[in-house]
Amino acid sequence: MKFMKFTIKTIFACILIANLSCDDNFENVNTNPNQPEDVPSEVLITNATRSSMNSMVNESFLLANNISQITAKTLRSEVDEYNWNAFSTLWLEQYIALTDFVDAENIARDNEQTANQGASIVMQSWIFYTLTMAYGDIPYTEAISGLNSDNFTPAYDTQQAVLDGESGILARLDEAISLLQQTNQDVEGDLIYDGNASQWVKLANVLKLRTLLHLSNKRDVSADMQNIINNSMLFESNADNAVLTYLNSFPNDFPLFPLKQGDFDAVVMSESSLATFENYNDPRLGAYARPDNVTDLQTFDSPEAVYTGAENGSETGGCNKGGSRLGARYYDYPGHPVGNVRANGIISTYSEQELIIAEAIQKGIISGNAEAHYRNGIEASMVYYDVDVASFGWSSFDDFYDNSGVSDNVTLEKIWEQKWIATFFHGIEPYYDIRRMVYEANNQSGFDVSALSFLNVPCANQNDGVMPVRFLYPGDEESLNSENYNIAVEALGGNTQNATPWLFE
Amino acid sequence: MKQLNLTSLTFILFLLFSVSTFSQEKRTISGNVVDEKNIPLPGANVIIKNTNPPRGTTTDFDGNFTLEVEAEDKKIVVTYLGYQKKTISIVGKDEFKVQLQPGNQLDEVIVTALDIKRDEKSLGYAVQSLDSKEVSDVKVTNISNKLQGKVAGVFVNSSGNGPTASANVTIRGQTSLTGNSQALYVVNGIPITNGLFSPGDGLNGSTTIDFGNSSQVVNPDDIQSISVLKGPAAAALYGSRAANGVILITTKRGSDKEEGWDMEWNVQTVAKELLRKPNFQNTYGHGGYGFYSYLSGDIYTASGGVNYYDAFGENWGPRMDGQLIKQFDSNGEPVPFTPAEDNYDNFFDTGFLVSNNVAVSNNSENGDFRLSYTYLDDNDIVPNSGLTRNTLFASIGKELFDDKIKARVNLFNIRTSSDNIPNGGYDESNSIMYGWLWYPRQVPIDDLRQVWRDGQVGEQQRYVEELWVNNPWLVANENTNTHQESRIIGNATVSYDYNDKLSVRARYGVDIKDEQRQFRRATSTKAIPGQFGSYREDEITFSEINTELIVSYTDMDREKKFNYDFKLGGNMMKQRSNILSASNNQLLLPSLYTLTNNRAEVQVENPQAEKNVNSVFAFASLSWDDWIYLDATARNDWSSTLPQDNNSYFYPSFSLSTILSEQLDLSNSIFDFIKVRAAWAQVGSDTNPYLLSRTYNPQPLFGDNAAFANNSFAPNPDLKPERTTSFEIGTDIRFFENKLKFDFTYYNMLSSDQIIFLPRATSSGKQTQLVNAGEIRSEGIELQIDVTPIETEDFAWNSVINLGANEAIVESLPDGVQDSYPIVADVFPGDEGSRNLELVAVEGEKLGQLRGLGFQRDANGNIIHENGIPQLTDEKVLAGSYQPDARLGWQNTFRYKNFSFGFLFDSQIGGKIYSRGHALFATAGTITNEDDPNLNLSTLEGRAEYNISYNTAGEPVYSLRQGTGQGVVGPGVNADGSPNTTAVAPRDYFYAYYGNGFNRDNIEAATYDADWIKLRQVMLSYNLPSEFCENHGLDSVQLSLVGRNLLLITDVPTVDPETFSIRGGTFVNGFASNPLPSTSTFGLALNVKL
Repeated sequence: MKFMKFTIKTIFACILIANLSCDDNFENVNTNPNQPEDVPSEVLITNATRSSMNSMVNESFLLANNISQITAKTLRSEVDEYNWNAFSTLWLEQYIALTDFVDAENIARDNEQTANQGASIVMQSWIFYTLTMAYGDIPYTEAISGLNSDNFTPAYDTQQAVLDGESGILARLDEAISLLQQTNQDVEGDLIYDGNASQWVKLANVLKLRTLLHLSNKRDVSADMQNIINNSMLFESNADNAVLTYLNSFPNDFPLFPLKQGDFDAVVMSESSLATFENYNDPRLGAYARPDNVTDLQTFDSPEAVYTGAENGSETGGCNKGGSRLGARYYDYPGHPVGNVRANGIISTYSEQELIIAEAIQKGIISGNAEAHYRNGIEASMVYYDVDVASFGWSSFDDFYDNSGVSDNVTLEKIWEQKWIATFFHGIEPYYDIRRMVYEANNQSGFDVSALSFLNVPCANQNDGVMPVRFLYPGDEESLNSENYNIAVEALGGNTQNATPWLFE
Repeated sequence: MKQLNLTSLTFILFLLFSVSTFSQEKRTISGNVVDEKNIPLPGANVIIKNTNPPRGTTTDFDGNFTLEVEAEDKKIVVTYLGYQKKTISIVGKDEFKVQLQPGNQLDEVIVTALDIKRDEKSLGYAVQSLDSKEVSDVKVTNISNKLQGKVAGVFVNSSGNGPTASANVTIRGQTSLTGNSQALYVVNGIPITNGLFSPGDGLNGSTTIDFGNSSQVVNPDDIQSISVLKGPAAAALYGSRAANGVILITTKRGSDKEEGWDMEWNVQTVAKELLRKPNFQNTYGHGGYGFYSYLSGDIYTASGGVNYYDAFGENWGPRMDGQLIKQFDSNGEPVPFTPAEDNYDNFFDTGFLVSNNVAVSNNSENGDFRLSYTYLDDNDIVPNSGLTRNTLFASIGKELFDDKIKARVNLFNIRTSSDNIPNGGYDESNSIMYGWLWYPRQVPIDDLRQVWRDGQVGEQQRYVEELWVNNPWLVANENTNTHQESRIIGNATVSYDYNDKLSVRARYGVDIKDEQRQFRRATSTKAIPGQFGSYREDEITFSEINTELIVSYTDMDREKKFNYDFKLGGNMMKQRSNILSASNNQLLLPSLYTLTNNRAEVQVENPQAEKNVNSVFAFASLSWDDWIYLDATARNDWSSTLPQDNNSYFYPSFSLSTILSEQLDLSNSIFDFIKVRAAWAQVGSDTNPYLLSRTYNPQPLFGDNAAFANNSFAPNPDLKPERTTSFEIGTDIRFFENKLKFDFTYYNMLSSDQIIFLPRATSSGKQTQLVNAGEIRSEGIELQIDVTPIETEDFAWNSVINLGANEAIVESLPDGVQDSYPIVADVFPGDEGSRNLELVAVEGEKLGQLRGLGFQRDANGNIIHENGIPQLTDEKVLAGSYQPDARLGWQNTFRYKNFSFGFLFDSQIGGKIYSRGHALFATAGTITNEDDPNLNLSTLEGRAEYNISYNTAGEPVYSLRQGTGQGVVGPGVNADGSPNTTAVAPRDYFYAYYGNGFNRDNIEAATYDADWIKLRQVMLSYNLPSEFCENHGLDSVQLSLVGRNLLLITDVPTVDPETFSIRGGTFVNGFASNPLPSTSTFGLALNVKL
């Protein structure tokens, strides 16, 4: 009896334990105190703008500037040698940024933040453009499907569909323009235009122009381009440039500033671009590069400054790898004076727009005065870099333009040459432009680098002097999205650097 | 430290003298000896302790004795066949009632789950234990390392990661796709955390600084025993976390000793030296392709068409034959270029580990207590690094109301602090070892002791080159990682015996950790953003509180044939953690380390986590006639980390033990004891908090703009608990009067429904998805052989072999995994375009495969070359599993009169290890590579050598020496099968061989058979003669020479293969990522008891 009584008491005690645990509601315990379940769209826009831009700057530095031979790598020079592995960071980091932009678009739509919705679409278009131009067919309409569904294997869309399809980026940019034009709202969380929706409209139009020029080898883009030139808001000056003005401290400074000197020094001025700069005595050299012989900022532009260029290509095969370091705006050297102008992250600039228009006119795609836009483009670039024309021996920009040889006989190749120089650090655009120029210089039948006069065949190159036409899909896709990957690779004829994407078929 | 030693010494001496001054008259004592049921024991021996020849008597028919004792006699020892001996203090007391407990040598009592003491013979599962002597004989800073070689089936890997180095402890091998299969640590029945607590890894990413797993702080001098509960059957009562086995630590208490006062003093001082060194070359110095001439220290190769290579950062430069070359610190003058051969030894210190413990205990009828204080000082071999640890321990027990209520409190207060925890690996800003990879062979390390440039103290470091590496003294002396930890581990127990059978026990246990860490990086440190220097502070608090209630209904009356023990209990576990991490990424004033000295916003992260698990469990133990034992357990857990509808999981276990020797007549056989056992168990397991719903991850502000990001994983609202099902059988046989003991276990374990982050294509917007999937089967044996070939009065030899063999096979992987599941997708973060080396799981293969690119080979396995360069595969290949086939320990103990000598060999058989350090050292031309079993090619062969002169402009002019620069011909064939005869520059060959230049993505080149043998421990002890002790009022004095890790035998070049990497708070086995060198220790120990 005693035993029974005791057991009952004990069981009560146990129940008490169980009850206590019920008070501590498990659902509350397992609610994350550090991370909210809902956020407004602007905080995602801010984050994704920074992360996508940081990634683009790094890829400009490591890939695009070197492939296009504005700069050259002094070590890890597989890029310059045309011996490419998968450059998976571009893919991975941009799809991660897209996740936030797609989410931001959805949240903005639900909350009637029309301007945010529009800006999110513009940024998505810029990134999808970059990805399809690099890789070819990519997950597009089904991309980011894992955010709100259980589809973790998004199907690929063709490059044609991504660029030019019914819901391709041209159509999406139109959608964004119409959203941005129908609202009085500011874009919130905006690191590019500080909220100005009409500047976003301009950027959307410039991105359309850029895309159409690339499409011009595939279809007649005259009407589309002319329509934009005639009827749409475009950049009017450097004030409209789509740039991210970085802050002066980590982690919001220009992404090259945190680098170790050895890693920064691993990229130097290229022999190819140096020849062009010196040919015209172009004052932008003092902005792009740091002289070999002086550390004083004042003398970057002085006649005593000595600049050298390295050969693009192998770091070992007897190639010259000595070249001037990049300019003061890209890095603070310990013990050297700090530049008062720091580099920005660039999506597109007025200069690029003007040179796109100049080229289109020169080719007869649209009508107009090619040279006027050519001149605008060069001048805008000089203004953007705030160059000191005087120290390069010019009395003014006009003096430079008229007497350096830049304006003599403005051919398509000259426009290309200036656009090549002007798109330095414009994301991956230097590569896409150079690739298209090489293609056209080879009469659309190959990518022999020597066809373009201002480029050099890389020293000890491993691809017969042929510029690779695409980045390899990352292993991530091959192993995790294999069914769709295989369809894309089959269409391409192999996941190789020389497999021709639709744009060059 | 020295002061403290002195203080404790004085204290001891004081006590020593004060004790020895006690004295008493000659007198007669008397007493009565009874068994556990108060039945008198006639013929029991009563001997006065420490008398020679023994003086004593035996009890009469009624169990009574009388004995005349002298003034200096302190204790009597009472023995009776089949009963445990008892030692009793006779100081100040003349009448004794002595109760003996049944038991003999066969009935070793072992602490099992929930602190239940059991006869070892009654257990149906494998348990092995270490006694206090084994735990504390030779001191280590991390207690887990004492299990090495001593327990079959326990795989303990230590590493050279400084004084706080973690020990990677797995029991019966890795069973998880997440890579985490660490054993649960339990102190006095209550779990403690063994977490790594490595938020955000190192200061600026890269390698994890090893602040050590948390269980290491438990002080060896306070440990009475460690029981290792190997399988789930043994551990099932501990629930979720016990699936990987339990290390059960029981602390000392006053009642362990006989009645009266006891005191103990342990002091140990050992020196630490390098155990393994890279095979450095002393022929060629800094530079590349034979070129080197110092200009400014920042020219990687050439400037203005002149080859300087003064920041090439590798040792492919000129021959160090004394020719005149402009060098760092030569003020532009050409000076002799000669090797600095002893740099490595000159840099590392002789370390010292000092441990000093004083314990006082008392046992009386009224209760018992034990107080202990331990001071540990570990000066590491890395300059300016080490730790001190102060441990206070108290255990107080009291019995009340006619012994019906028993209460006990155990409390540890452990304070650890360190001036610097050194880092290894590839952390450029903070790893000493990173610097050694590239360190110029011609620069004497002592010349760099002045770390700052003249007039720029604290602002600009002084080093041989400006592009890559930091001055090693700057890293050691300025870039420090300090920490201070305060830990409280304690519990309070109250039990109430209602009657003979029914009792209740309530217990409350706390484990509170409060730790601060400070990370300093001096201004001008390379690889710190902008080289402004940086400072970070972490405040880590963690607590785990367990409340437990158990009701027992027990009848263990040995008069009856049927005995039983029923228990029913509940436990509530609450874990809270709060990590506050503030980073000042760019200092404003140089080298001033505060959070407010910032040029950028201070980045703050403050992850908090909470987890509750409620449990109800039941336990039944039945025995029949002392030869059949049946145990059953059941437990149900409710975890807050799982979905509401799915958060309850039940799991049972059964075990059976039969003592066949009790039933068979063995009197004429060689057998003394035969036991057969079998067990089956299931254990469920939960996961980490906050994985069920979608949330947004806060990011640093951009100016005034807040930023949040989507998490990279897709949460799973339908998560289920993991399951581990295990089966084991074993036998314990003893022969020749227990001179030979043999214990064998076979087990088979299946882990299923594992909670893993399944990789997903990033293009889907998620990089991983949380799922239940995967099955891993582990199978293995454990074998212990204990032989005592000789045992006489003066001489004895005992030899013990511990063997554990284990194989874990991946039976199934989640749907959607193609060829491999990445346990760690990216062991070494690579450059753009490189193919990462991975640790993966592959269906049908051993768990934990090393994966990366491999060599293209012909049918005979020869490496295919093209233009003299070895060719690599396009696709990744497997280079084998890190899993060793077996771990084998061999302990020998010899005793001759007052001397004893013991040594322990520990070894690993099988398994692979990839040595990143070796690949880097070889490609840097820093080592000879002559000890590499994979590649029979020295880095000294075929190099180009130049005579170097200077032109009028002071620029170097190189002329090739005749007969040099012929290059090397790699062993292998061409694509057409003909032998490779093409010579290439040695640097180019080594870079291609280890994997596509700087990518280093060839797994095969630097993967080695990881077999090793270590002389783990040696100890030579001398016990002072008992007469001497007696005369000085001491119980015993033992003086020992001790050593650990004195010898390493292995084919693995450059590194100690007993190591692991840490990524994201998880141990990564099979990859040595350039760890700090391992050490051997040797020194003196003194143990005094009074």
